[in-house]
Order: sequence, then structure tokens, then C-alpha cells
Amino acid sequence: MASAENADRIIKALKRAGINFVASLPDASLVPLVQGFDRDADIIHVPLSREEEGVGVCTGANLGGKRCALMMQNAGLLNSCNALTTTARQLQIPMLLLVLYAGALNDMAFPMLGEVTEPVLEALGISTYILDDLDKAPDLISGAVVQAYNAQRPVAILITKAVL
Amino acid sequence: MKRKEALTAAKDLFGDAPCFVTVGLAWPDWNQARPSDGNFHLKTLGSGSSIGLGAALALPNRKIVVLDGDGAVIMNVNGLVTVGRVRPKNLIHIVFDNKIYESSGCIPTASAHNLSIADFGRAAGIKSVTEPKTIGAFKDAVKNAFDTEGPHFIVVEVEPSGDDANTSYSRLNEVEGKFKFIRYLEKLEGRALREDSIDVKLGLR
Repeated sequence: MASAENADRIIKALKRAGINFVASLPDASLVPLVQGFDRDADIIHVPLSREEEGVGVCTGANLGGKRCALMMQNAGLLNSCNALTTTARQLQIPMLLLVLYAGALNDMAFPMLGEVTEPVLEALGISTYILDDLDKAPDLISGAVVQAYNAQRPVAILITKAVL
Repeated sequence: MKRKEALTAAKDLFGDAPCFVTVGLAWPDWNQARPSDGNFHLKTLGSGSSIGLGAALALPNRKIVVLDGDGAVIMNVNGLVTVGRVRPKNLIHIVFDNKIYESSGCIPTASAHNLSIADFGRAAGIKSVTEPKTIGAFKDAVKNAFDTEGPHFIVVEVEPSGDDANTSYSRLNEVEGKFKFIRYLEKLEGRALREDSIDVKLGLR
């Protein structure tokens, strides 16, 4: 069961990295994070209805000066491939992709989804890091945001369910 | 009415508002009517409502315009759903509905059959939805959208461009176009918006 305390630590790390705009679609494991973003006065939170929109929403907000994260399950990452390619990569838009890693090692649900996730990210040219230890969240998140801006592209963090 | 006629007639009403323009012939029509670094050429079909929403939330004191087409809107109806939920007051989304995929072979879209795009916008919860039928009514709708709180969704039925189709599709490098657009926004806003890079030590610790 996802805990609010763990979600708070991740939100704190995001804010320390300057993230002030989040677009999201829920997964059961992401609920405390979604609720945390809704409560946080320092973060503009946009609830999506399909993940690919989020690439556009984050792109528009980035043009307007926001530091953005798109949070979703990895099924949503697959939904977003065209916009990630023809908007985020092609226009060189930095954004953090926070992706719940369904079907990862030790997760029985969605094995096929787990199997294709990292190869798809590699094919999209998106650097990918795995968050499987909550203590590493601050360094991993700030490092990914710095890399996204310095390379002007999306960077993905795959979050395993155990972390939440 | 044709899209080019409508845009040319109404161009002065847009002032210096930033405009996100869909992939296809709407781009040369608008960029010739109002040449400006504040015109942003979208790359992903259907992304207009989403990118417009993000920009509208990031720049809440400025009207943000999306110039869109029926084929594009239908590809990302989710964008309308989210605009209807979030309701950014400063978003003006204009759809030119020619009922065909004009830039990719003129095959009919769903709006040539049973779909009402305006009704979809209403059902999504977008606050102000209008369907102007004449150029005069279109100008009134645009003026009203700039003068009042939105979100505004203006759906204009137009004839296909046909023989008037713009043949001079200037292809600006998209990254250069992005930089010009950001500098344009920064000038309007009077503040820096773009972060070229983040220094790990200064930016985060």
C-alpha cells in the first residue's frame, strides 16, 4: 500500500529540484503523490485524461517558464510516444518523466508492459534511471532535472512500486 | 467563408497575443496574415489544446490563442476534456472545421459525418462555446474572447481552401522557431522565462 509519508519525501525532492508544474494521470500506487500535488500551493497540478496530452501541457508550461514533470504509469508512457518524439524531442523541451514501473522485477502485474518499457525509452533516446530505494530519491530527482535541462530533452525516472 | 479570409479579416483583433498554430495550411494562412515571432508552429497533430493549456496556466495574465483544425482536434479530444475540467480563463481555442484532412489528401473527417465539435466542447465543460457563421460573427466572437473570461472555444465552419490553398509553406527550423517564440514571450512579459541549463550547485543546493 502506497504511503503518504513516502509520497511527501518524493514531493520534497521534486520541489528541491525546482519542479513547480506537474501533469499527471493516476495509478493506484501514485494516489498519495496525486493527492500531495493537489494540496501543494507551490505546484500547479493538471489532472490529465490521457498521458500524451501531458507532453503538450508540460511543453506549453515550459515555454512559459515552468519546470515540469509528467507523472504516469508506464502504460501511459507508451501512449505518449508520438508526442515525446515529435514535440518533446524535436523541439528540445526539458521535462522530468516520473513513471510508475508496472511489471518490473518482483511485480507480478503487467509483465509484458515491464518487458518493453526500457527498450522503448532507449529507442526514444530518453535517458532512464530507476528509483528503487527512497533514500536515493533526492539525488536521483535533482540529477535527472539537471540532465533534462542541460541536454534539453525529457529524462525518465522509473519508480518501482516498493518505493511507494 | 474560407479560413484565410476569416483570419485576414480578424487579424488586428489578436493584437500581440501568442498563437499556437496547428500543423497544416492554417500555418501559412496565419503567418501571412500576422507575421510574428509570436506564432508557434506545432509539430504534433492535436497538441494545440494541450500546449495552449500549459502555456495559459504558466502565463495566467495573458491571453493565449490556439488556431486549430478539425482533424487535429479529433486526434486529441482528451485535450478538450482537460481544458473543460481545468478551465483556464485566458485560453482562446479557435477551430477551423473544413471537414477534411486538408493537408494530407482531403479525406473527410468525422465532422463531415455525425460529429459536432462545438457540442463536444460544451460536453467537456468548456465555459464559452460559439459557432460563428459569418466573417462578421467570427470577428465578434474573437473580440468577445479577448474581452471576457474563458476558456473560449470558437468553432468556425469553413470551406476547403481549394484553389486558394497556400503553396508557400515556409519551413522554419522548429528549434529556432521555439527560441524566437520564447524571446517574444520574454519581451511581452518583461522577464526571463527560459532556463538554458541548471547549475547543480547554484540551482539545487
